[in-house]
Amino acid sequence: MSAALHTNNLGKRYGHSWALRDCSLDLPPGRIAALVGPNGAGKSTLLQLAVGLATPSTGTISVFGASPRDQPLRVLPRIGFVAQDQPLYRRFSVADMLTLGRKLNARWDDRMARSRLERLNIPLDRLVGTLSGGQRSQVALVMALAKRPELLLLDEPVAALDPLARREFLQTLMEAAADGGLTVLLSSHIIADLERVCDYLIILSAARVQLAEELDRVVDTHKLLVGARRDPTAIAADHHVVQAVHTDRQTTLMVRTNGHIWDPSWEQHEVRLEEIILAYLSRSTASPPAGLGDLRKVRSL
Amino acid sequence: MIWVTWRQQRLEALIHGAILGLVGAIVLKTGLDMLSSFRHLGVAGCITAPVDDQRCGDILSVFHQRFDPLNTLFDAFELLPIALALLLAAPFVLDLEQGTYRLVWTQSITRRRWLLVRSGLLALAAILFSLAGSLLMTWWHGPLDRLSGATFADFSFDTQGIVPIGYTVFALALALAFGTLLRRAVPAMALTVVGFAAVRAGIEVVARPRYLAPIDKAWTSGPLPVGPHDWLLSKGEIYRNGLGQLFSWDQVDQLCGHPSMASNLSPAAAKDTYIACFNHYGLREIVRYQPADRYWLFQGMESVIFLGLAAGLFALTMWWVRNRVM
Repeated sequence: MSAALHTNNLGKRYGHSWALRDCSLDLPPGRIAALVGPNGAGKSTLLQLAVGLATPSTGTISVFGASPRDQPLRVLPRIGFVAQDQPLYRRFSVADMLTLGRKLNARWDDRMARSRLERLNIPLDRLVGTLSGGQRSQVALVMALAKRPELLLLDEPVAALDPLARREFLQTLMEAAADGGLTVLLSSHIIADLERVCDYLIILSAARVQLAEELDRVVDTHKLLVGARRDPTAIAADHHVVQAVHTDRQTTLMVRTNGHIWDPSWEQHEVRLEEIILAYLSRSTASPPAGLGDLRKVRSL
Repeated sequence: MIWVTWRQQRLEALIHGAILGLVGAIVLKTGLDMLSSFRHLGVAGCITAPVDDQRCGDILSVFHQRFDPLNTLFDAFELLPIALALLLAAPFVLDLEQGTYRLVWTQSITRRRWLLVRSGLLALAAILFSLAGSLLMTWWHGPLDRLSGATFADFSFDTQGIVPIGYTVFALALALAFGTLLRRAVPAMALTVVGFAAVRAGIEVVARPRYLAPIDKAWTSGPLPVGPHDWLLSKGEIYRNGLGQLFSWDQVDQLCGHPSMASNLSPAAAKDTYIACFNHYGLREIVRYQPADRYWLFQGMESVIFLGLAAGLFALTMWWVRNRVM
């Protein structure tokens, strides 16, 4: 199997509510993928399913062709995972954390871990509990990288960090990715960061996958169309309307194009990644895909 | 995983070790005092002395006055199993409550191995600590048990021999099970205390006297027909007639009428009638007891029960960890 991460109709239900639903996804190896979505969209759930912390309620998930939950020893050694709250033992020293990693992983690069920590000026004899938030995140990332993983899963690792710490964290991540052989799935709210680091985009909203594509292609294929007010049905026949906004006289469409748009009555604009993402996320409350059905229900944000 | 478990528990382990060491030193010191008093006062020579021996009466009262309060104090060893279990289980439950278990679960080991190694080491510690406590108590009580022979009595049975090991392992398994199910330290610990107390008391009161059928002996007057080390279950509550049928106190009253209810007779006449009735039916008071030589058998049976319960709880915990946690 070629995909680093493959899901098919994957779903996870907690009680009566679905945290993730009908998720079918292929993450090609070598990508640095951004996982974007509003809070509660299922990002953490997807990552937890991938690392085997959670069990699927429906569908399947495989990492390098193996089930994380049923074949943990085929999956776990190949995954590095940094959880949202970066669980580390506060009473352990940094050196103890490395010892833990060495004892619990057959594949463990202690030299790399030590040299990274040294470069980050994190002393090995400090207790984890006394480190700053940024340093703790770095330790968590170094722990994940020292497994020499083929797939690195990061659940909002920079959410709680100040801009400088965030930058340093992403720097470490990019260095590691540059060494090659690493696929990354990174969830975050901070789109500017993702744009700098990632080359693949997965948008998760309302417990479903809205988009999964190369970042460059996402920016290339999405256009903002402005024209006189009208029903977008005609254009929806050839292209995918992500979002439609109507004023009294004007209609503005966010469209994912299938080739060139020939209709000259539309004024075409490039859109920034952030606008594209926001357009997808704002659809989460409108149940039928926007652009079809009752237009009056589609509200502008 | 062994190193990780040690590193996670080592502070607690050292604190517990220090506390138990201190308690152990006190038990050791007072135990040696007792042995030396036992020898110097010449208590041994008075064990079989008649009740009216004035000199022995004095010696025994001095000895008892000095060591009975300590004996009562050390009944607190009854609490050792639950205390050990809570202290040992606390870091495990906190690991689950604070979510740090996910760090280990996402390294290259299975949940099964994580739980096996961790709970295995905790059980080993529980066994060693409780064994030490039990050996201390068994040794300390030596002189007192020679005097009063109360080994089968509640606190003596519970804090000596091998049952403390069973209790401690069971309490630990209960704490780990509640901790895994609830993943909240305080409610898990509270439920462990309640559950442990309920099971311990239930088995002690209901099951322990019935491990083997007790022995009944007829008794009319004079010293009880049981030895000082036997476990007396009841006396004066059951009666047996010449045919071997058993009667409760109430049934005897129905049969013969209680002397105080016979209002038409003088008290002396009522009593005579009552005794005549007894003799007519051949009623004898029954002393019911478990003989002293069953002590180790009962210790073994009770240990097996608690270790069995612990194994069941551990299986539940393992299933829950592998299938239900997230």
